[in-house]
Amino acid sequence: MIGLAIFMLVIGSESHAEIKRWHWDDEPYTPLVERNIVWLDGAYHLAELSEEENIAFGKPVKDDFGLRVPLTDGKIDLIVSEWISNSPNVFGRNFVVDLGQNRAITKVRVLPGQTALNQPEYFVRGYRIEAAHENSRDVWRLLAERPKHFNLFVDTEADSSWKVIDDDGLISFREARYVRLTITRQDRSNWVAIGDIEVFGTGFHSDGDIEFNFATQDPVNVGSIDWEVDLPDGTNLEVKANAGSADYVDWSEVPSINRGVQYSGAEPMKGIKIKADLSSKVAFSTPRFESLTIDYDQTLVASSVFCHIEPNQVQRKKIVEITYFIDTLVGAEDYGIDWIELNGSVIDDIELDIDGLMLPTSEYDVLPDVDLNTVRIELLSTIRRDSRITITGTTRLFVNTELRAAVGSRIQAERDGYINWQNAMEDPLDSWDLQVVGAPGDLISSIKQSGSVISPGSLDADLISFDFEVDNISSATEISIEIYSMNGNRVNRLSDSGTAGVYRFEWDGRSESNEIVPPGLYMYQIAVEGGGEEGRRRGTCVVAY
Amino acid sequence: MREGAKKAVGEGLALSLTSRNRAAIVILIMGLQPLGAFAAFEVEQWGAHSAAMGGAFSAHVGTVEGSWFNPALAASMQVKMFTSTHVQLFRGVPGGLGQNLGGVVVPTKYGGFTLSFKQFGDSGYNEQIFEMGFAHKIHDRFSFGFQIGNEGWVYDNWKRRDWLASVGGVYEVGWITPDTYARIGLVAQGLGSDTRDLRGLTGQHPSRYVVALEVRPEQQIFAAEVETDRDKWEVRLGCETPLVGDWKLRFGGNVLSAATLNRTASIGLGYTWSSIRFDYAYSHSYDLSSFGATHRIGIGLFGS
Repeated sequence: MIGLAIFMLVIGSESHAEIKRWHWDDEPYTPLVERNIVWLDGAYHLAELSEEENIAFGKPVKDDFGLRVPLTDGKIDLIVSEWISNSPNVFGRNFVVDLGQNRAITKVRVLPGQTALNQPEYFVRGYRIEAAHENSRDVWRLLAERPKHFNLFVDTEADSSWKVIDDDGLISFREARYVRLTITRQDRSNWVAIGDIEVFGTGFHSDGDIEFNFATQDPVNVGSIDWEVDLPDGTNLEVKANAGSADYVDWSEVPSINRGVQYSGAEPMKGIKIKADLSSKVAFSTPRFESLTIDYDQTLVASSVFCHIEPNQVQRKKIVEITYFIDTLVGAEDYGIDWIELNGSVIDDIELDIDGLMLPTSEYDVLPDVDLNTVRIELLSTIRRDSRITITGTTRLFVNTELRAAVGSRIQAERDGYINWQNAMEDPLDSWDLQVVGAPGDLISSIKQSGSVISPGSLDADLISFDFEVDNISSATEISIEIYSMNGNRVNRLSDSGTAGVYRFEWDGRSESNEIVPPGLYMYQIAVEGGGEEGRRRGTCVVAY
Repeated sequence: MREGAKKAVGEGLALSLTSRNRAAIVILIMGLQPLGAFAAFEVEQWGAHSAAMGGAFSAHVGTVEGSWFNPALAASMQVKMFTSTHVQLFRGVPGGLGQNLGGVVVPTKYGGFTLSFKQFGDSGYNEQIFEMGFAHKIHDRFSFGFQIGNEGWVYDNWKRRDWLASVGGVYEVGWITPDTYARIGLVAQGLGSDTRDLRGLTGQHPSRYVVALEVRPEQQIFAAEVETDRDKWEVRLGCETPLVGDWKLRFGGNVLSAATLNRTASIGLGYTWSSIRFDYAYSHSYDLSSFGATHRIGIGLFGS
């Protein structure tokens, strides 16, 4: 009870405004950026390709020796952006453009290089243009061919067999990913100079993106971000969120978020940027991005929350003591703090004090397994004044980590049905970065298999867990376990993605189609993608029933 | 010398089948705790000779291993024969996976009798198969055989047991060219197996069917066969050719198509010395290459 006396505890009884929702169509709104996107019938779609849009531009093109050549750079400049043969013997030489995915091709155009424009005898006299579907790259379909009397500008539209016209006169276009130009004739034994290969198509753009900027007058605590999208087969939508105050965002470094997740940046904040990437692998399909909703609460858990940790350097894989320092300003208008969440690592043996005085364990509950690398602490009484919360615990780390904290309110959670975490800001004077030093160990080590038998449906052995440690990887890498029957048939595959750390896979004796596998001996292989033999471990387990 | 050795081996085999020992075998069969078949036994029950030919062996006469693939092949045996193989499976798996196979064929005036025993196990897990069969030539060109097997596995307190049957036929196509002989084999294995266990769970090794063709141009052998069951297909191809003296080179491959593919290539050698034959096979799965190769080494005795 001493702990209760050391800080003011007031269970909030006043009412707070409900969480608000921002929709992109709440008011006339212009997205910040639109690329290959159109607004149609109440949703954003990929724009249709225009007739003169060169879809080969910037795509990789290689010659028959597998060397990259500058034939899709949109230029035909002398020498530097044209292809010139190094001998007159060019019969059969070919160039393959990889469009990245199947596209509905309407025509292909080959531009002479500047050398050939200056001296027309330096251009090809006969050619063949073919295309291949991405599923059958070796099957080349003829798009256009002119064995002789070739002029400088090839337009395959007139003599192409690529278009399919049905009995009703409707035109459809075959789809292909690869386009191949083959030189079949050359006069006067001259060298050949080709400037560019252009490919034109129809249907929708393969990708596009759109950015929104959500801004408020006062700082808010952003909650879940959700959206509605219609995704025909072969289409996709990815959404990213970043602090809106940043003038420039390198979106390639911002991970995609799932529907309904909460914003993970520091809060409170007055703006958030959202980027939606629309893509389609099917020429005539586009995702339909129908709505975007951002929950936000004008009432904060605390007016400000700053966090840093000590120490900032630890030995790799050693059990070390870590201390979080969370400095909070809690105003009368704020909810107050009922929950604290620690992100970045699993923390054990937690002790908590407030303003230097230890809080009895009876005054809080620790929920250690909320999520991977997340620990949640529930305070039994609300903190409603400015405080320094100090949390000490032990952890074991494999890679450099940001150890963050967030705070939450019971009132808000009970009212809205979820905890709208207010993410702490990094203390401007101290850091929440934890640097891990020491030589990395084996890529996979400390494999522990809980038992060796699965008896599906039984009470005590209905799954096998494989616990192991992965070291020496710092970027997100796929880690998997594959289960094989003794005849070599793979019956299941479980995977995860992450960096160095502790992993656990659990197999319940079922196949990928969720059927209980037959009893018998099974082999397994744990693998770290790209790790070679060092990144593989094998063993056996038994399914019995 | 060679005849003498052959005679000695023949006498040895004959000795092992005296009436007293026959009774012992019967007791052994009756007293063998029948374990369970079900879907264990996914490991190929192949000897060193057959594995080197990719398991394309269901129309291959003249070996004990042939009767493991097709019980009708025992009808064509002219001499008593014994063979055994020790297998080290997937050498990349820690602790190793061992398999032992042995069998005997005894030709009589009524037909060929076969007995075989196969064992596979890891630490604590053990599979056993005991089979006996009979084959009879019912026509100059056609032989028929059947086999009764007791298959079982045991692990800790779990064990399963089952009796299964196989039937097979061999059709002697004959000389399709002056130098080329052809033979066709048909097999149905795993007959009579139940499809559910006591708790109603499915997951039993299903019945499977094999169609096989073997052609022998001069001293070479080419074999191909297809096996299918409820949800799998397997194609096997194999070849044997004389190398030097009594050495034979064998190679083959098999492709198993189920939920995923497993493509395996094999190569092996055979050497006959007096009445003893030595076989070795090296198999490597393309799709399970990281699990390591499988080695099989076998020895066979043949008598009169």
